[in-house]
Amino acid sequence: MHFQSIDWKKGIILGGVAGVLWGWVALAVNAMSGVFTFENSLLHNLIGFAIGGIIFGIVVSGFMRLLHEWLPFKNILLNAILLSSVLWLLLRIGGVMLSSVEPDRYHLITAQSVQGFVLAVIMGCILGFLWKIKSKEA
Amino acid sequence: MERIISRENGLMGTLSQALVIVGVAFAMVVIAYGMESVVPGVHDAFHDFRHTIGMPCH
Repeated sequence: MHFQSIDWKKGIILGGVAGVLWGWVALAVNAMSGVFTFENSLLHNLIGFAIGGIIFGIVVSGFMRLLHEWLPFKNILLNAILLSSVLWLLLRIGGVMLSSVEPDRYHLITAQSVQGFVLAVIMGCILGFLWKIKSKEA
Repeated sequence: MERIISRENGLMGTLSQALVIVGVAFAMVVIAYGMESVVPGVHDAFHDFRHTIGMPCH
């Protein structure tokens, strides 16, 4: 699997790079799907989605590095997709709990949730692909 | 003695890595739920992002 060949700092950088790419892919996917009508300007969203993506990417990449011994697949790509999806599901479960506590404040929309899950899988693909390339280089 | 120092460095390294992950994971939760009470302005700054990735919002 070559997990050891990617050190901690490289893992964070890879997560950040994957996150920026993913954030902008998410922006494009939503613009095409029209699931949510953007309320902010394109420039605002380019920055916001990049920062959000960096945070999400670093967390997934960090957990990949931290949990590499316990991940079930031999394939880095599959492990990245699994981690990214599980992380998104955990956040979504937290969202369901918040929604049940404060239904006026937190609304769950099915179409956005489906899009979010697909985007989580895409994050796994991007990160797994980058990890694979870096592992081969190392 | 070298082994003890090496173990301490290893432990500190692992601890710092875990702290970084916990810190960034906390930031992710704050962004995902738009927790204004934690970081003022985070709700509006990441409003479209939150909706796009399927997180609950008003």
